[in-house]
Amino acid sequence: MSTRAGDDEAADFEAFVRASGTQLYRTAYLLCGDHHLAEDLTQNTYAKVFARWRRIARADNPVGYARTTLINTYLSHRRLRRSAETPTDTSADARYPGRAAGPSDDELADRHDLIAALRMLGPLDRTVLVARFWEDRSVSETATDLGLSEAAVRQRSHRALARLRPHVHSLHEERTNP
Amino acid sequence: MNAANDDHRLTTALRDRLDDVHPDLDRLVAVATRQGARIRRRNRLAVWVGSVAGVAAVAAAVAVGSSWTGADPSGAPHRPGIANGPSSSPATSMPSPSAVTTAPRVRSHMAPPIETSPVSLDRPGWSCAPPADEKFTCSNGDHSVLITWRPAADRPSWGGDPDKTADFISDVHGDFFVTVDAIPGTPSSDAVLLAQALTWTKVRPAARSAKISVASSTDWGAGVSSRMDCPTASCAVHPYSRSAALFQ
Repeated sequence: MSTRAGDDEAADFEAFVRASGTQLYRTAYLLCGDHHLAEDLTQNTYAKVFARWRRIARADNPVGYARTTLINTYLSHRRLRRSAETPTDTSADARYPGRAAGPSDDELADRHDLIAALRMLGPLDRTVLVARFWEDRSVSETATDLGLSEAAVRQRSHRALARLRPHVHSLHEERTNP
Repeated sequence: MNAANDDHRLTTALRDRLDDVHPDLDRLVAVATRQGARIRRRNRLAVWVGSVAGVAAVAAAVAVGSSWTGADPSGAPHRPGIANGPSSSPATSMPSPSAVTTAPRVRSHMAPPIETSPVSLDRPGWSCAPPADEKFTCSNGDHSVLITWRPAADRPSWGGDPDKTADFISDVHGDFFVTVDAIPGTPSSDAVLLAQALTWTKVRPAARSAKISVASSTDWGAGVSSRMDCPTASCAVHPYSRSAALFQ
């Protein structure tokens, strides 16, 4: 009986990961700027979710819970490991199987300008941008997720965008040559 | 050109750049399930250790009570030559084991909230996000801290491991202790000040979403909710803490 319940639980969890894994992994990649760190972050997040899966599966929004867990884990991980963080080697990142499927060198360069620019931001500013512009969270939702005031989210978002713009070739081009 | 266009362009640029980024979902499921099962086992062990410690504390309280009354459970004098105490002895004011072990249990059939933190922060200008993964962030707009609650059984490993540092490490309160970390850009002193303003609420580790009202709890002293007051810096600030110097 309990084995069957365990099997059902594992099957539910697997379905959940398959449905939400790609989006969560991409969020992790934007936060970490590195595929290997993103993979670690996503795995840690799902491991924590699995540990409480019986309760989380009953909740209204398991994906929201997983996203908040990911952000908390990221901010916590950043604090512990910030001294060890070094800029990602572009060539090493390009060898990652997830991206070996096709982008040309130009596409890779274009992509890396944005990812590299994101990495120049502070972790909280980066998290605000990712929540607002990748996750499409509203100012109010982002404020709730991060425990910030709405004014602080707007301010951080504005400041981060201003810092990002000069470093992102394609954004700059689009802005100057609409 | 306006801000909304810029926002839209960033969203589009992010989507373009991540279109062909795909995780290995099979591996993700396998590793997460394995790691998650390990976390479950560790949590169960922590709960078990906490329970054993609780039972030991109750047994010690009973032993102390028995020695005060001078009688053992069989009714025979515990120590020949020492008279039984009068009925108004201090033992009568001790919480009986049943009072401790039969604390009201909340068994709601409604779906509980996912997590309830054993600590809360009530400080003007600061607001906190909902907890997830046994942690939550609080911010005043400019500065933010990350508050994590952990099983009491893990507290010893936070006493001497340089890898396990925090701006503030609390003492054990009931079944938990907390660590408070300043998010980069926030002074450590903010984390310490906020940590000292945390309010504790009794939460059962086995069902962390359920609160218990405890009439008399021997390990809480002040009752259901108490300020995390620390008379000396040494009782709360970890030797490896970045903020330890603030108190020296």
